[in-house]
Amino acid sequence: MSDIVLSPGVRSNLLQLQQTSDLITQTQTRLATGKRVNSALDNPINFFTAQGLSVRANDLNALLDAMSTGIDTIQAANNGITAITKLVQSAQALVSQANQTADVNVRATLAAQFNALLPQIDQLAGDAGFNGVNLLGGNDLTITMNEDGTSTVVVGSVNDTTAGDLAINTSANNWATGTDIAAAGTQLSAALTTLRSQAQSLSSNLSTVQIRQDFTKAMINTLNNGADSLTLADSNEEGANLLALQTRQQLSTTALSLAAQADQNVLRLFQ
Amino acid sequence: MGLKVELKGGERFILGDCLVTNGKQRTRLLIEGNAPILREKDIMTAAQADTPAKRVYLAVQLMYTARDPRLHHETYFILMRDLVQAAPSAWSHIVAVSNHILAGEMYKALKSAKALIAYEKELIDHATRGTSLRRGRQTDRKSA
Repeated sequence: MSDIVLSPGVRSNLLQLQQTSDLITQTQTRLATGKRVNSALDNPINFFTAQGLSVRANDLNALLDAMSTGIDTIQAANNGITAITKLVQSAQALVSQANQTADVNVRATLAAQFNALLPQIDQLAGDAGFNGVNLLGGNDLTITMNEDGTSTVVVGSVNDTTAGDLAINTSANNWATGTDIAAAGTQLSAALTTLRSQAQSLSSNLSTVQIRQDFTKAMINTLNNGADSLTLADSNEEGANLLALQTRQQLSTTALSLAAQADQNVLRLFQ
Repeated sequence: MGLKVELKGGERFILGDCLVTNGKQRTRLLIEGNAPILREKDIMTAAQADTPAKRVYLAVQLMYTARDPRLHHETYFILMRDLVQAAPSAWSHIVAVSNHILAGEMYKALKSAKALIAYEKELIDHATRGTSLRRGRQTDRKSA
């Protein structure tokens, strides 16, 4: 068996061909991914920094999912409260009808209708959950806002059943006397006040979580931007970039609006 | 547990929506509650904010002292995006600031923004020092 022998000239040509094809592969990868640094071998520092950025963006994405589930849970509870409020208002209509008649039989019928409404309220309160958390049924909701879990929002639950926070009793004495009807009326208006304040606290919680959600989304965008633009290797170049940005920003609308915002702030007093 | 503030004569600070100016004597104050407090040395005015990182600091400061911080989020993110594109290596500082804002710890966010300003100064100093070293060779170059 004889080996194929390559002359030095051929060998060097082959080497150059191999190197060219390596370069082509590299360029193709860059074109395909849009990133200058694709592996730790290209540029270790940039690669790991960029990877850090992407990992963080992913962590935040996971948080974002948790936040939107949280928002859905709060919204489900809010829908529940709206529906329960409507039922309580229908119950109020029954009470005022009963007040307008002296006929004991009519009153008894109305009282029976009133009693039939109450279990429906309890059912609505039981069905107001999302993803296993029912804010109207005693399950508190905890939403984590950052990766290490140091910042959380806890939405306290309520118990919107007729036997619970709403405290509505079944009609007494078939509403035979005016006192019985008045008692039901008082309970209903108290229940409505409770529902209204619960809805208010839910909506304030909702807006807190929504603000954080928007902020996290913008943060993810910034991080991804950073990872993508991480083609700059040395601090010299970054310094020069910052100087250029400094000049560019002086003329930008952002700087103008920043100054305008400062003028509307308490900072305006500090001149 | 309140915050103890010691003021020199004539020193000013921001407390909530007000600017408090000390009289002639040194004063010690104990402040309790949740209002934003900013000492004179920590305050950046719009005129002083002339670099990208200082503008970020100003935006965080506006969020801290505003009743509705949401108004300043958009400006903040435009500034952040510019900065991270110009100097991606500053991202760890940027993340620290954003994380504090997200957690609602605005005072800590300001502290991190201060670290960002220091880092920016380091980078810019490095770049300007580099040009002055290179200036000797500029004679044989055409101006752009």
